[in-house]
This record gives sequence, C-alpha cells and structure tokens, in this order.
Amino acid sequence: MASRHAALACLCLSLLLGGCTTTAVTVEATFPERPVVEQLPLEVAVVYEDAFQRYTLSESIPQRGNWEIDLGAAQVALFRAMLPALFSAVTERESLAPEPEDSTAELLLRPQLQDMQFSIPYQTRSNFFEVWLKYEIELYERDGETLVARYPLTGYGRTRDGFLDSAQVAIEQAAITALRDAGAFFTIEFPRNQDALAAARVRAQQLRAEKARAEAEAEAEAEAAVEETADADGESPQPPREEAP
Amino acid sequence: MNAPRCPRVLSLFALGLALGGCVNATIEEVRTAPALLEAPQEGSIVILGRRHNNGYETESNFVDCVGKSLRSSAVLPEQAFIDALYPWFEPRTAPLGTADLPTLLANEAVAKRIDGLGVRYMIWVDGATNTTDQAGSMTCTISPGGGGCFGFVTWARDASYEATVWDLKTRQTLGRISSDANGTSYMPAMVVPVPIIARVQAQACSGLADQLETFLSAPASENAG
Repeated sequence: MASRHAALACLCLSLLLGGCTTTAVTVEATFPERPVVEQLPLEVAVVYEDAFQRYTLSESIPQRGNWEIDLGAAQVALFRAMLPALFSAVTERESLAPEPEDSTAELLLRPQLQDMQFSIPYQTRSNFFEVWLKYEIELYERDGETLVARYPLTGYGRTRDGFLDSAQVAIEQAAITALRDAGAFFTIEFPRNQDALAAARVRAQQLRAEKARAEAEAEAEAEAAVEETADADGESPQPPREEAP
Repeated sequence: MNAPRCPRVLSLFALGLALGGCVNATIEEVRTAPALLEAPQEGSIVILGRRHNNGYETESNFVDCVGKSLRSSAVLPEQAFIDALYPWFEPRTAPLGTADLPTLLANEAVAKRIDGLGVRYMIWVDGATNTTDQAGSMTCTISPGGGGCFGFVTWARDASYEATVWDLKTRQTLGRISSDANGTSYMPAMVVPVPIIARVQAQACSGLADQLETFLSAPASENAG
C-alpha cells in the first residue's frame, strides 16, 4: 500500500514539475551539397557573424516548460552547402570589413536571422509542430560599407505529431524543413534577380560616388574656410602697441 | 488474485488489435499508354508524394509503405531523389501534379540530373487519409487502488489515393491507379479499452502497391492494348 502512495506522489510531483522542464533541441542537419541551380559568374565573401553561428531561440510556453532550440550550426551548414553551388567562388569572413587587396570577391554577403518562431500542437490545437524562419541577406560592396541590397528570405517547416515520436525530434525535423525551404527559395529566386542586383550595384556605386564627392566638397569648403579665416586674421589691424615711455 | 489478471487484460487488448475493424477497399486502374517501353531497371523508379505546405500533403509514411511493399528493387528511395534534385522537390517548389512536370523538365539542369540518376519512371502519389466521422466518449480514471476506462468510441476513416505513372523519357503518362479504402474503428472500454482498429491506410497501401507491381512487371505485350 505504501508503495502505491509513493507511486502516486511521484506521479503528482512529475505532473507539477512538468511546467518547469526545459526541452533542449539541437538542430543537426546535413544538406544536399550539389543543388541543381545555375551557377552565377560572381565571387562572394560570406560573413558568418558569431551571433549567427551561435543562434539559439529560448522561449517559454505556459504549461509546457521552456524550450531552447539551437539553430546556429545548422543554418551555417545550410549556407555552406548552398552558396558554393550558386556562386563561382565563396570565401568566409567572421565580420563585415573591407576585403583584402588580394581578395577576388566582388560582393560581401551577410545572412542574418531576423526572427524565428515555432509552435507545438498544444498551442495550435493541430497535429503539427511548426517552425518559421525570417532571414535577411545583406549584400555589400567590397568596401564592406556600401550596402547594395537587402534580400528577404523566409522558411517554413512542419512535421506531423507522431504517436511515438518525441517533441525534440519533431521540432528538429520541422526546423530542418524550414531551413531547406529557405535555401530552396534563395537558390531559385536569387539568380532570377540578377538584373535588379546589377541595377542596385550601379545605384549603390553612384550613391557612393556622390557621397565621396560631397565629402570632398565639404572638406574643400572647410579648408577654404580655414584659409579665409587665416587670411582675415593676417589683414586685420593689429592692436596698437603701448610704447614704453 | 492479481497475478492472472494482467495476462487477461493484455490478451483482451491483443484480441482487439487482432480482430481489426472491417475495411472496404477499391482499386481501379486506367492505362493511358500502350506499354512500358523498357522494363524497370534497378533504381529506375521513384515514388513521390504530393508535397505542399498549404492544403493537404500525402503522408510520407504512405509513400514509404508503397515503396517498401513493391517487391521490385527498382525503387529509388524518395528522400534520396529529393536530395539529389534539391531545391526542386521541396514543399514550396515541388510540382503539384504530373501536369507541372513538363515545365520542370524543361530546365536542362534538372533533366540532366534525373538522367544521371537513371530514373525512368516517376510514380506520383496524390491523396490522404482523413477521419470522416467520430462519435462516443471514454473516461479514464486512476487512483491509488487502481485505474480503468469506461465508454465507447467509434471513428470512421477514409483513405483515398491516386498514383500516376509517368515516363520521364517519353514524357507521357502511362496510367493511373486509384486506391480507396474506408472503414470504421471501435474502442469499447470496460476497465480495459479494447481497440478494434480498421487499418484503412495500410489496406490502401497494399492494394495500390499490388496493382503497381502488376502494372510495372507486366510484359510489354500484355500492356499493349
């Protein structure tokens, strides 16, 4: 009888503790390395910042505890698989900075995960675990300062709530599907926008030239003003010296 | 007293599973081309399910089931094909039916990759299994003295699938096979729930796979006409 009471107490305790648990999911994935896409004659340097490489989503769901989804390594793996198929050469950088002289990269590409959301069947009253990803791919000129374009990218994935599957596996699978979806969209749509990219590069270069000209003019004006001030100082009457008696 | 009770409960449960609910299955075949021009070679058949985020998608376990039930070694696993053709068969980009395939195959790179894989026949499976009706209720309780369930639940499911066989070389539809199965499951509970499950999806799968096997293994002369 005592053992039954102990078992019941354990059951109640586990139900109470259920809301305090943390479900940790590390998304581990490999992606197809040779996507069937048209390779562009463009060399790029891709910037994987530390925050991107280590991205982890932490969220608390009432009555379902805390969730931590580590997506960093998987999203870097996606871009590493996808970009070499799309561009003729890809080099990696850890931060946005001017390209070295010997680099042949024409553009800098910085992917940023702007938002990640997920839902579990308990929240949506459905049979699906779902994951949404929202990226923005920033394209910079070689100087690492001139922004050419921002390219929005979304990904969605879902998995059915399996009878014997764990929630971790289901969320991980939904995240992988969402990553593959984002990658599919980028590899198909990006080559179709080359005219817009070329126009954006011309516009960015014009803006850069205008900015440089404006800065040069401003600098020249400032120098002229300094010279004028100096000249004016030279022509102005000197205060009379007090002669010694 | 408690010792023999457990086996009795288990045997009741197993009996329910073994009984199974009744399933009505219908298989129909329509041939639209006279014959398979070439007998399927190893890895030359791929079975793909409809993949689409909005609306329904064909369950991947059903596609797996059909692939495994075909006794032919000619079937290339669906995921291997999807990975090899990435990004063209993801839920967002996959064709919604065989009508969209010619457009996709007009892409030279895609056609070349499929050719490289050696895939000749694509079987496109479209459909889903849905619960069409359910009724009844069941209550389960647990206490220090034991537990049990009481009630009666019934639900009806309908599995409806259509497989279209497509020749990637000649780019024509060879035929269509449809498989429909429906049945009602019951779960009476007097302390122990006894599930009497109608395995409609499994029935639809085996029916479709058997018919596909016949379709693909028939000699050219038999297919003609």
